[in-house]
Amino acid sequence: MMPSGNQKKTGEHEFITNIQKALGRPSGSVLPDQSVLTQAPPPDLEHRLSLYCSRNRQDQTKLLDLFMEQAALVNMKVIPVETGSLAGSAVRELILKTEPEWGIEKSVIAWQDPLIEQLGLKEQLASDNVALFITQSSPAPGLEEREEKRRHLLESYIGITTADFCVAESATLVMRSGPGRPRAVSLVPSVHVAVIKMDQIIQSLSELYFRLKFDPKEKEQGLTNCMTFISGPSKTADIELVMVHGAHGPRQMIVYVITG
Amino acid sequence: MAEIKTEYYKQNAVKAIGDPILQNALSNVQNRLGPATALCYQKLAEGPDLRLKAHKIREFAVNNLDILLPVLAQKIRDRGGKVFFARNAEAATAYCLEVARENRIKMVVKGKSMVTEEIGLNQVLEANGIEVNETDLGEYIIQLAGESPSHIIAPAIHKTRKEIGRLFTEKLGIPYSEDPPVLTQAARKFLREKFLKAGMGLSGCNMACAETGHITTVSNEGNIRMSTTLPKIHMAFMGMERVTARLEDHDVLFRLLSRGAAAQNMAGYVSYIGGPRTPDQLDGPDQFHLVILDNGRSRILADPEFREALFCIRCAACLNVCPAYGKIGGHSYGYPYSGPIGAVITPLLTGINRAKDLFLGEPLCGACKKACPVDIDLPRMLLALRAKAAYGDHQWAVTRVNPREKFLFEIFSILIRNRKLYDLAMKAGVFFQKWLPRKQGMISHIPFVFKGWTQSRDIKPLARTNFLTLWKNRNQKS
Repeated sequence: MMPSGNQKKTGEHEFITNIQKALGRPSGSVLPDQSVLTQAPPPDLEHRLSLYCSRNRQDQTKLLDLFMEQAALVNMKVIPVETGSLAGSAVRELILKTEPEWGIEKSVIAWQDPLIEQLGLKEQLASDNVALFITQSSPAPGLEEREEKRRHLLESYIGITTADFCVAESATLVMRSGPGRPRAVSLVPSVHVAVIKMDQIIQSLSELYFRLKFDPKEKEQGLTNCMTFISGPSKTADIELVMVHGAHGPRQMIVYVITG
Repeated sequence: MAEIKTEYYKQNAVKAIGDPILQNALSNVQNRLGPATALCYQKLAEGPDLRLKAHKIREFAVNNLDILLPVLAQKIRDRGGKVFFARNAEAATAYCLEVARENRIKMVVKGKSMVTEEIGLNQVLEANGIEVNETDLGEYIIQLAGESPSHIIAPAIHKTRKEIGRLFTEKLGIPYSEDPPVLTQAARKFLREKFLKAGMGLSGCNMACAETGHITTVSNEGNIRMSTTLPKIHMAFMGMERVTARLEDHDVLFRLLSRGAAAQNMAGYVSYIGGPRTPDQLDGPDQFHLVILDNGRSRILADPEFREALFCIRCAACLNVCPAYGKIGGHSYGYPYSGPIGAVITPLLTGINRAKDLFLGEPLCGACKKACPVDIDLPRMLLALRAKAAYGDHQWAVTRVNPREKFLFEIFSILIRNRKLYDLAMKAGVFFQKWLPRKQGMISHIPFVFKGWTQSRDIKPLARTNFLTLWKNRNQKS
């Protein structure tokens, strides 16, 4: 992974010494005081975690309502569906009625993910003239494999992903990168479709950071090398402050929430 | 370094005020974004006082930069990223150029970043034969036009749709249109090719997190995600102050940043980036470089009077409410940073004497402080800069801007302490003023050292009989 070539000087020592001087601290030998970074787990840790993880049906429905309300403000379409296969047929309908932005062939790319498998897209699209690419990959994909996947990505006009969390208050989908979950699927195709389960909807950004930091389940994975928040389709207002969707990323964004 | 044109402040301001199209654009931005941001703060669950909490978070981080930056760097290196600490603009651009050459890069795509404007990165790369493509729509427009940004987050706000339509027809060869969706689509198509061909993507950094070892990038267009996902190399640039200690700090800061910048609840895209592609991943850059820049910031850090300027998260909320910015626009400030924050940090980064007009031109009305998501006391620092300009300052090597000013005030001080002398001076004034040119009863020009008084306005003549005499006479009569 490390690029070869000569070892460059990082300039770190001189740089930090200079900052220490500016801050009026004795320079050089001081060990980093990690106490400014870590925070003791809050006393209500267990309580908060159990609250977050044991929302009942009614709480979850409330969060879904809040999410839908906020999503409408950022032009993100949210469609609740009972089951995965209903989501699958909804996606099929979307594919049939949406035309590609570039070219005429219809190709769709989807993450390799158990939740997306529930959609049964392969069967759904069997009789249609639509190519379905899945981002399945070997444990350490080489250049050739990555370039093949990149071609698939570029051919696709709809990208289908899941999400790790969905923050209701700001209508934000949170995705961490990992094997089988290339980040460009939510970015390069003209339409981004996300499929989530209702219990993935959380209240706030503050809950998100709390869980990422203190929930043992999330802590293990951490933020990964790339965690992305997506709140609506790509947009710009750079010409006379007129809002236009589809600046560089997806022009349209649809979230199917499986409620069953 | 970016070209410094702060000494042309006055003439550029005059030009800007005389440009009706620009005036229209500026009031449009301010009328829409200024009040919208204020309303957003009101609607926060915690109310506008959340800004005070954000201030504390930034203060804590800036006061601990010597601890946070090495931790951030180490965590990124642990994931296989490279971190370079650049003392100044030259070191930063040289590093970028070196990496580009090592990897035989011919073309780069770039997300909007103020710090790369500050170090003049585009010019250096272009001078070395590397094609640079700005990909933020606003930046792309001004790059095509050969101009510089006039607003921190809406860089092409000074251009009308008609101008942009003509520009696209000329440079991209598309049929003329002044429809924003059509123009946006044209840029989308043109830049997509560039994203796919570029060997390196460049970005700034909105806020790093030391605890987790990530930088963050924020955009609404998705251009920064494109630039940092598709090319084989991603290089990010950050001012050394743009880091926070803890992950949960980002909750307050991102909510306020989105509201301050564009009156949004949340920016369209926020990415936490902490290293290159891992072997099991299908996409992402093979190399990730982070360049952390000082370029005069440690000098600001060392001065308790101005340290607060480093709390800034570059949202441009202060531009959207500033009466001076609202009239003279971003270009008058003569450096990438404009508005009240520019009037503070540009002099500190490029020289207080040279950039004195920037802080002398700001009205000290306090609107910027109220609009600031991290509650920076900009008016206090503007005033402190004025004091340095008036009295001189050894630490910042400031010479008195106007030595005659002090001389005149000393004379004035003698006059007002001596009744007879004062009355005599007033009488002399009344006597001599009859030779001064007048316009509608007002004096339109005073010569010599006083000429500044009438440079841009007329002044009322001294009364023939002063107030005290009138008062005395009135009491005698009754």
